[in-house]
Amino acid sequence: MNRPPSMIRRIIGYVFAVVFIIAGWWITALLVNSPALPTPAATVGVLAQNAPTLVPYFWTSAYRVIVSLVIGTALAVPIAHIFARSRTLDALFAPVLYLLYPIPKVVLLPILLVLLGLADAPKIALISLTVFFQVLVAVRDSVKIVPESAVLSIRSLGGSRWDEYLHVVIPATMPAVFTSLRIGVGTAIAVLFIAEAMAGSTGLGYFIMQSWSMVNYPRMFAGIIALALLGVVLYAIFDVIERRLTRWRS
Amino acid sequence: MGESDIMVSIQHLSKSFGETEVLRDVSVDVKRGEVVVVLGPSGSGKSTMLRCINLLEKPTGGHIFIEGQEITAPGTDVDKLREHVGMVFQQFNLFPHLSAKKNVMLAQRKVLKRSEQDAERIALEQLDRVGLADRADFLPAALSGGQQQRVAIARALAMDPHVMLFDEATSALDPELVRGVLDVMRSLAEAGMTMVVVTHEMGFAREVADRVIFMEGGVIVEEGSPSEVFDHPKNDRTKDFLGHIK
Repeated sequence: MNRPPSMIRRIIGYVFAVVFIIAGWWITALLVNSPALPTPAATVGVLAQNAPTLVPYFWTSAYRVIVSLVIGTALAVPIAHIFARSRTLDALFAPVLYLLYPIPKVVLLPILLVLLGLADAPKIALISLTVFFQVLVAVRDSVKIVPESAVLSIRSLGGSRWDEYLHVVIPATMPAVFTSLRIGVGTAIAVLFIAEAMAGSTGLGYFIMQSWSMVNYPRMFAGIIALALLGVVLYAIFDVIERRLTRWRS
Repeated sequence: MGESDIMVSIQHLSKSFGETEVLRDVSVDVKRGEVVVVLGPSGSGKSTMLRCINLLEKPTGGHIFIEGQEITAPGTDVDKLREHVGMVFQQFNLFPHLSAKKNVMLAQRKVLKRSEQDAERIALEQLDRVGLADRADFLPAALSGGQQQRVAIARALAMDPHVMLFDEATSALDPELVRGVLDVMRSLAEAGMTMVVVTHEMGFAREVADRVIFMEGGVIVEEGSPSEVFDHPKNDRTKDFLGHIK
């Protein structure tokens, strides 16, 4: 089909976006003229210079976010399916979900710090919780809108309950899982930053705030760029997986 | 007429959803090779009756026999029954992530446990039968609604059904796509398939049906040959309905 032209168009789009962002950043940096916002050119040097110290912090943060995304999703998807399929459970838990969903989970951080200490556990717990609710709500809603007729079709062909899930319900809800994950990455990184900035002495959040308190702005900025990269890379990974798994949607 | 000539026998069927009675004491026999078209306004119970035939809806009363076997008896193997009863819906509901051919192969492989080669050969035969041999590798999104519905018909036919149920199979289609689907249904009828067809296509009913049933309010109001029902309706409600359609 027309894959080559659209591929080229996409690459052109990304090149344009990168140029646009760098230009905007450069102009802003020149206008602000503060050591807290170095120009892109200065940042490249700073990044290279800080890379050796930065890398372990980066992996600590990456580990926390990835593990949390996996835990949150692995818990949310099956529960979402059960809720959406059982009228009784849904009636029972929908109000609970409705009340808990809008609460910013990040306010629970102090409690988790008391209960789980200062290392990975409270951060992973907090981000997992945030991701869990986002995926749960998105997937539950998407299961609910799988048309009854689609389920009847496979039943009329002699398909079992399992076939129904495997061939109708799960493919239909796949896009919701990935959309909620892509949106979830942004929130997860934000929560990660706050958790690491507040407690412990590991991860990019700590690195950034430590640099800030040392008034080492180039180092701080290197940390910010690393955190941004972590978000972009995860977002792109989910985007690619989603495209692969839901190629049929085009 | 011997027992074995009756493909589907519906006896005193009733169905309620809570307080609402949708079917009341409906009895119909469909002979082997017969094409029965069911007409009636929406909410008359036609689709519910059709869905009771393969137990997609559970009857609240009465008995249904398919090839002499009571399917409403407790302990009926529903999956086994459905293998012999093909159904096509208003919404085509193809598996969107599978090609036309794979759509037709899936249930053959999973339910009938046919080999990959057999399933593929039969899939291609059935796609050819509905005029889509050249679309075998297309995804549903790349097919028109009419083509998708014909794939859905091929998918049902690949299971070697003894009777085919059509639930408003053309109602969701753009007018120019209806004909292709009706042509496939007509050729099926000519090949001797037993069919129960719920439709609003009066032309099809008149030309293809062996018998026409008119339903309203959950009961059979009138039945007979197409010319009896269309040209000389006895019941006022039938006359009224046909008057509105024309």
